[in-house]
Amino acid sequence: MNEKEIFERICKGDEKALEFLYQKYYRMMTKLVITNSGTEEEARDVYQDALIVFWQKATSGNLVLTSKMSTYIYSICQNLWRKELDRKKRLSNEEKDTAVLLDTDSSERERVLAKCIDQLGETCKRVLMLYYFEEMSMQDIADKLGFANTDTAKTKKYKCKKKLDELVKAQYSEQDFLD
Amino acid sequence: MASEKDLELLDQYLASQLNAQDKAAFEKRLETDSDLKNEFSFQRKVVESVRKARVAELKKMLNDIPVSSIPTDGTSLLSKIGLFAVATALVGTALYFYLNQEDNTIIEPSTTEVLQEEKPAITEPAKAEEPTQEPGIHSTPEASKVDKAISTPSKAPVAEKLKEEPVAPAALDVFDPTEESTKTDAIEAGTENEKESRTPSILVETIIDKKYTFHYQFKENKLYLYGTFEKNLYEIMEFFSDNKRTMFLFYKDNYYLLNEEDERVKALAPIKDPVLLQKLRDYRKD
Repeated sequence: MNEKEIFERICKGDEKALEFLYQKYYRMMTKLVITNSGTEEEARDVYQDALIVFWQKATSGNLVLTSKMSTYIYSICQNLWRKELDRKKRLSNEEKDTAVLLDTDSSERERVLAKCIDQLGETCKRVLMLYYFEEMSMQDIADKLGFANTDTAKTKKYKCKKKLDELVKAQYSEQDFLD
Repeated sequence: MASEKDLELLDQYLASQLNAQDKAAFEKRLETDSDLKNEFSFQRKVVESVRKARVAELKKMLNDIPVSSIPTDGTSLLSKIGLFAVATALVGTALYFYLNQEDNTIIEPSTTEVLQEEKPAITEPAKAEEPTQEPGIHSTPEASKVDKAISTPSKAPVAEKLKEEPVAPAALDVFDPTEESTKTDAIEAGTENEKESRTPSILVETIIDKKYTFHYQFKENKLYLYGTFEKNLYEIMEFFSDNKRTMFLFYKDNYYLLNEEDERVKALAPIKDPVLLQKLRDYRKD
């Protein structure tokens, strides 16, 4: 697969192309973190996060590449690792305790929300993820999941979202979600 | 109670489907319509959770991909020269002490002096090879926008990540990835200069076996690793000196000496000698 082909396949949401890209640049990208005070695990995390950022932008059609993919992904890795280093630096000060306390409530809510998503059927999960994360158009979702047309995809998405809302509301009132 | 039309707009807003004009108009309404704002708070968190679930799914998928960090390319010639220089010390110490101790561990203190003398040969040339700045490094890809659904290694709160922090950016040592990827491409195309190519001198194969759960074996110029290595990272490090090869395995933060003297299946025992460990760690970071 050449660069252009990989990118085109990624834009279409082809996960096999993402796997290929992950292996292709693994060492190059993780080296950045490892040579800058990071562990192998942190390096892998940063690279994976960067690749997911790249994937999301590509699938949503919001990415026009003006450089090589590796250069683009590398600079995302740099930004993420720089943020992480800054965060570590801040946490080493007095903010540490506050951050931990603030996290407790939201992480419990996240856990419940994740459980609600798990209760959806596989197709529902796919539709919602492609719509809200990959930000694909209804036409692309219909093509990818084999729906008859965009209206079918739209209806499916509507029903799935409604079902998820109901599952969440059964656990929480809307008041619990106010900022 | 928000109307059906408002809910549809809200949904499109959260899925980034609105154009700039409609987006601005919707944001303006959010400021004045409290019902809509409440619904927005709820929907935003639900949608965020869908995104997070997708990120977790993608991360799991990437984690399951077998990745070998064997350095097959991108290593500078100068660092290889440094490597040859240090190989004598490593072969002379690691292999000698390994073969002469029954418990297969290397704890000889005299290695310190020998290895330290060779240290500059590893580090200096390697650093000289790498450019200190990457072209295009100042152009920040819009990572922060998509960042919203990405969990960092440390599980930082999303809001915190999205904020622009007034902290001085950490200085990073960088290299030009374009250069390395060009090398990779050249290798794939079979046009790589012979001096720069670094094909592993031995084939590595992993085998899942009931009897041997964490073992290795050299057979017919091939290295077999017994265990569930494919799901995790491992790295084979080779050192050459006087036509002799010494090999080490790096796996899950431990280093293992790979003894090639016969074709028996041997258990992997982590190296414990702190000096040798430090040298191996230093080498891997170069």
